[in-house]
Amino acid sequence: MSNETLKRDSLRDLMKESLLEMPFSDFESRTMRFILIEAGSRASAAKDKKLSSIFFVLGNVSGLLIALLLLNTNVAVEGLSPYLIRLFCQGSIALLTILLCNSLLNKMNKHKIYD
Amino acid sequence: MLATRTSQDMDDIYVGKVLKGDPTAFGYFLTQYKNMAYTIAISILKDEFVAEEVVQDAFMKAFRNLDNFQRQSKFSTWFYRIVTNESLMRLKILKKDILDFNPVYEEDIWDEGIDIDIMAEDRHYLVNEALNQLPPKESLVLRLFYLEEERIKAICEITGWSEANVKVLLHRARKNMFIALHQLMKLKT
Repeated sequence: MSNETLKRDSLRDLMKESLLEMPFSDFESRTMRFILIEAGSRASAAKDKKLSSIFFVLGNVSGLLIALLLLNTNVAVEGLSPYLIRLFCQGSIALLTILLCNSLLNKMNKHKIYD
Repeated sequence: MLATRTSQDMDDIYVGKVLKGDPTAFGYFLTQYKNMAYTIAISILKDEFVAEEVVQDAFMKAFRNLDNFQRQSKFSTWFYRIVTNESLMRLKILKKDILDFNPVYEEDIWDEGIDIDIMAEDRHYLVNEALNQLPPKESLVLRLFYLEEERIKAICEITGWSEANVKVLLHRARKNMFIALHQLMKLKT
């Protein structure tokens, strides 16, 4: 057996000693407690997810309807021209939709780090 | 081989249980992998408290992302990758000044050939102390290689480093490990 092989074998034997034990005896119970809290919040988040999707769609549809309605009216409010009111409503809806989509995308990406 | 297949089967069973909505089944992974995860983290971070924190974060991340685990690799490989990434990220945040091990008279000692004759009761302490002196990447590669079936491919999957890089690191790590052991034994006598 060559010197190199001998060295490799002795290192192999020695390295069996390199596995360390977790020195904190309560590690498992602590981590499990966090896991269970996480699981609980996930379950309630799943319920909220359904509701939030429904309200997201409803909000968008009603916003669009209001914008369309305003498109066909020529009523001036407090001296503001119908054109300005329309522009304000459409701008607000567009901004809200973008912000909501952005936060949804961020949340989705957060859960797709390790795939 | 049979043992590996059995542990992989068990992993699959418990992954299934957790995904079906039984979070307590995740306890199996904690029991099974906490020591190796801690060993990986301490190889990189060299601090037991930070390593414990990182391992806990890694378990939480694994739990959150379990539905993304596609079972193309072993659960252990997937999980150790999370632990390694978390540890390297934490190391970057801490910007810890881990001094690189600079062996003195490196070539002389290597050429002499070292007779590793360590008393059984000193082995655990000396080996881990020597590994603690190595740079994070070298101690990580050594531990992964010798504790995880001695497969270069598995190390590449876990660390994301190329095969050539791992081989070079492994060679350098072996060499530095002998030197660190030699110096520690010299200090002891």
